[in-house]
Amino acid sequence: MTAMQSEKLLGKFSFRRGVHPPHRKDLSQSCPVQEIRLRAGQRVVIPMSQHIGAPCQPTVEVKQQVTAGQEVGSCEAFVSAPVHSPVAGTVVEVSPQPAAAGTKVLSAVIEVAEDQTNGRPWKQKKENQDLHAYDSAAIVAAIRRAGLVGQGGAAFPTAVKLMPNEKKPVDTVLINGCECEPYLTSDQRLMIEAAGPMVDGLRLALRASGARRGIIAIEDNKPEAINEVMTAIRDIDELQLAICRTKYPQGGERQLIKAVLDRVVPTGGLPLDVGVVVVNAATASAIYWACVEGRPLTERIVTVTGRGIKQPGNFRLPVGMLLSDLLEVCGGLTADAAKVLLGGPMMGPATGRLDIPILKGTSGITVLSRDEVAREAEKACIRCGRCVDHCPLKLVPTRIAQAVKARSIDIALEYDLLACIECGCCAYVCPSKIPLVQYMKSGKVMAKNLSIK
Amino acid sequence: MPNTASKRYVAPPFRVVPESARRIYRTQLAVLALPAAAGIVFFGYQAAKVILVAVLSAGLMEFLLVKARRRRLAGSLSHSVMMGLLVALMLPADMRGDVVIVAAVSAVLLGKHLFGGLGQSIWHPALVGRLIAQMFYADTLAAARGPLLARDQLVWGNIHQVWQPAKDWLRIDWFQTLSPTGYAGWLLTRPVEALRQMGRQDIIHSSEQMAGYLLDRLPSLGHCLLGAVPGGVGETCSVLLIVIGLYFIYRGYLPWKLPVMFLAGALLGALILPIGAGRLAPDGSTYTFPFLLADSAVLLTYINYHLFGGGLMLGAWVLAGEMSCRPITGQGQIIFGFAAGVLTMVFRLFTSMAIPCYAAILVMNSLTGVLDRLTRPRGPAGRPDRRWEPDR
Repeated sequence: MTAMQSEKLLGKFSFRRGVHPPHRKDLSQSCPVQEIRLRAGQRVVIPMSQHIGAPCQPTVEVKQQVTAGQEVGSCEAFVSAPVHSPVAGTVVEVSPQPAAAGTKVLSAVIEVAEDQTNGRPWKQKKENQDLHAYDSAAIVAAIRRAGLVGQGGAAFPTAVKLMPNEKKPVDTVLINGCECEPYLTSDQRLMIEAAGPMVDGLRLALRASGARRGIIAIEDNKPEAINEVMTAIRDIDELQLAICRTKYPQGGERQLIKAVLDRVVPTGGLPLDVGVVVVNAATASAIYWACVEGRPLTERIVTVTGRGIKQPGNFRLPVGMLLSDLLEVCGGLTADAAKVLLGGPMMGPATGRLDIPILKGTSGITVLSRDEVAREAEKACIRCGRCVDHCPLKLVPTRIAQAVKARSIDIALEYDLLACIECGCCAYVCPSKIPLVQYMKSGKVMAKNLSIK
Repeated sequence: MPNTASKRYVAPPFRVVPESARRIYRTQLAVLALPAAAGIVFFGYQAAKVILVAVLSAGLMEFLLVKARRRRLAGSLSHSVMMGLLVALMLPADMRGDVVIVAAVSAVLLGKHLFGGLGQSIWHPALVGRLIAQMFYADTLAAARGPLLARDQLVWGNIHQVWQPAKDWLRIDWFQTLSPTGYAGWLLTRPVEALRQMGRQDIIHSSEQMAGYLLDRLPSLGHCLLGAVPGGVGETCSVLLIVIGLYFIYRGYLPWKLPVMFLAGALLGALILPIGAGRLAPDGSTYTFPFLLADSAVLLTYINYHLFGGGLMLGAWVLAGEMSCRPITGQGQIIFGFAAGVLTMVFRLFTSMAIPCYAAILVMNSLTGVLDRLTRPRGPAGRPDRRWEPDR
């Protein structure tokens, strides 16, 4: 790749520290995306809060008929995103429903009225579209109406990110196609099969935010995706392709910005503070369809993978589909399945129940077999310093963890607890198997409670 | 929140990483068998006895303490055994058994478990043991001379039967000379002690004078590198110590900054610290700065003797890298290593303490907490990136 470096192709970018977990993407990276259609009688659960920010209020009532794409919850708050029904059917319940992490979230439960027909096309962009016809306000409004959120996992409302800001001008929009999390391949498949809409989504994002330069960042373990995207952006002046080294967490916003643009996002700040907007590859594609067709975010690509699932693959499915239904489509769990993770093995929390819905931000389901999960007790820290050597933010995780254990939040804050992005590199390399990330998370909650008081 | 060690907490990241504290210490222990073996070769079976006594008493102490504290920690036994082994490596092979036992037991009891056990010690446990032995057996351990087996008496020679020359110093070419009849070897001046005496007894003011001194009283550098000089059981074989240090770096057990900065500090110290300033009644003409010597070859030889002639290699490549006692940040390790190197030279040249290098490491161990705090990574918090300007 280095031989063909040019104005269009930048490379190879990396950041300091980080880890190299086995990526195991071969389980699902060659499986083309299958579309899942729901049958009559199946249910979908649409939680009112699938994003960071204020939760929505239901706009439908029990027994109400809804059409596919109809809004079922909305919110006036600035940082929020409405939710839509992916199917035509009847609302059977508006009540708290189980969600990930053992909580219950107010949700609309919709029963599918009749078997879904083939979905709308999503791979080819429409002919004769003039993107110049859209101005910034129109794009942002369309994105907001469609309820777009970051589909990489954090689920931050996209409209808020792209809204032009007088004080903080944006000069670059980055598309995050790194997918550094092991096992997951949904963005990779999207880039291979539907690079066109994604690229035009990036151009729309550029128009919306007023940025001049669009960069698509892909890790070098996805050569096929790199080729497809390269073909798609060949004739577009303002777009570039950045190749990043395969390393975790390359797809973390801060690491990506540091690697590609060499800018440092301040702690507690947003990429906006350094003039950058980072958009996930799947979100870029959704931006295109939201602007061109007004299509709400009711479908997304999810990778179901891991040794514990019988038929791994990539699926385009209605948001709100139940996890149990999805696992059934994949042939169910194998006998030695041990953990079902919402996401990849580095950051994805394990879920104890399968009757929870797939959300807008769920990019994958990883089912680990017993031998892939280390079950070891926490031991004493021997101060080997491996966590320090691998922390992409140059923190001292073990010191922060000790402070959190002792409930000395001021010391933890002094050691920059809040800068932690919870990527899990420290716990990944810890020889004493200390759950450092969990201490970080607890510490952040404690710090929050402290500041409220 | 997981607070008890017994709780099996399963949370992301989900991984199977083979590394564990036990594996780290077992590997280190296994690798440290190499300098121990070299010690047995050069100092005979008596060295094996010292090693065995130290390892057994350290292991037994650990066993008893684990029973008494009712607290088992994976890797703690390997670590204690390693501490025992390190204590033995620092002691001369003709040491009496009680000295070895006191050193090894106090290493585990006072150096390690008094502070809370594995990973909690402030000072390197083995060095604590060595220091305590030094305090109790100062006469035995302060000798400037040490025994060395002859080339034809390796392994099976008795280190207690060595020929004592009448004069203060004797220069033996170990590679060429066979053992004196009826003896297994000689009692020789340790290279670093000879260097220290140079400043105390003679006034050095020219390269020729120093070259003469070095040629007369010190074994050639080849001896120091190979280990055929008197000293601690595992201190002398510099080549092997460098090799195992590099292996530790390769395995990620030792940050390269530590030994590199240690050696850099020692080198700088040897270069600029005056020879002879520690003498009584200084009248200005008694000391010489090494870097002012006209002949750079002599200067280099002098520095090399300082680096390879004593416990510095063991200190820099093995002892300074003890995980619980070294700074955890990179910057801290740089300061730690450099300061320990310079302090070693200061202690060697200006004090008469018997364990200058180990004392320097102990001093720096005390500062580890301070260094960690001063050099804690502050991250990008609070200070926005000033380098960045909008492209437009």
